Amino acid sequence: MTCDERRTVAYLAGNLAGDEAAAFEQHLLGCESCWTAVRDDRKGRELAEQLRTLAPSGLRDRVRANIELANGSRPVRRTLPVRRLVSIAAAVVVLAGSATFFGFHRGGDPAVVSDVLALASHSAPAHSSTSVRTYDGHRVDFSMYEMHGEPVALARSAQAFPMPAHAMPLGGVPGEPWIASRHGMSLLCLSQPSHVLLAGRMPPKDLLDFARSLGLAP
Amino acid sequence: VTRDHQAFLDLALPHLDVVWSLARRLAIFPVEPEDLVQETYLRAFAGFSRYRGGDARAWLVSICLNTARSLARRAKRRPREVPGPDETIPDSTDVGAEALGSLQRETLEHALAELPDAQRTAILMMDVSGLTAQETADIVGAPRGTILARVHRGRRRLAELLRERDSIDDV
Repeated sequence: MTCDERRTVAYLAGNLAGDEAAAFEQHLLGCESCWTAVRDDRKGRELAEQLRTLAPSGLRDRVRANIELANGSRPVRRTLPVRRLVSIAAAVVVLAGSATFFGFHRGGDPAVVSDVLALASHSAPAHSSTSVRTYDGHRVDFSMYEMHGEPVALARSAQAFPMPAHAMPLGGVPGEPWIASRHGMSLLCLSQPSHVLLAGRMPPKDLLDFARSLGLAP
Repeated sequence: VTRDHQAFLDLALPHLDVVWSLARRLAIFPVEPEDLVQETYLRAFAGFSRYRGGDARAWLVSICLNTARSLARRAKRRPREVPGPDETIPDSTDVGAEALGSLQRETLEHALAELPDAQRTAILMMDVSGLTAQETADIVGAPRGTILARVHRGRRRLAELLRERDSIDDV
């Protein structure tokens, strides 16, 4: 019997008939090359299987919350192809690229989005502390809150906030609310009754509840 | 299968660990693995009305792979090859953690990242995600025999790379 990778692969996949398998196993006894191939395949599989990992705690809840939020807030979503949603998001980003308010930080998000994420990532927020920043003449008021022990950053503006890449529009058209996920944090942007952007390490649904508690969402 | 969101969650959430394992190795900067997981599930939910049954794990793996590729094309960046030490999740429980020390695990991640893309994908789908060769072939669009050859070569290379680095005991 000559050495043949196809036969080795077929043997490992269990595709050889009984007599063929027996003949190949006899061949393995005297062939170092084929024996090494079989041995390394089994070792490699064992190693690769050890790369299976459990999802981080909390991710299941965040995925569930995103699905429930998408299901509850956006009845048109089921009939709107996701490719179109993504292309809408990309189009908004491209159209918005020229103004500083929509300008991008190094991480790829618009500056105001990066800033609200940075604020929300502070480990020890000052309760209800506020600040004002200007993005190309557009005033944005930032406030810090705490909910369930987690900091929540709130940005308010008279202008619609730019939607970053990979965000999920909740209404299917630009200017509608959207949600996004970054580094385990959630972003929620609302446009009624006013333009607000919230960020926090919690499911978007909790951010929505928080916004409602402040009268920022219907 | 009913088409409400609870039916979707009941079907899809049990496979979260598989999607996470895949996303950790497919996420492209600046997209984080969790972002890829969320995008995968949102896309799957959007397409749930077109889901015709079958293996939900293979369906989600296929969506995750396609989502990662589309995001990679958009980002036009080099794929992240190895999660850095600061990207490990302290509160996650790795199945292999008991068997592999952190150094050996890092070496294994490096070795996986060094494989040719086709071999790496085959290993991620078959050995990490647990799909069959036929399911992998259907998703990738290659003959089953080709998939088996790719995964065989990838496994051999993994074993060789780790042996070269003296990180595993020779059998």
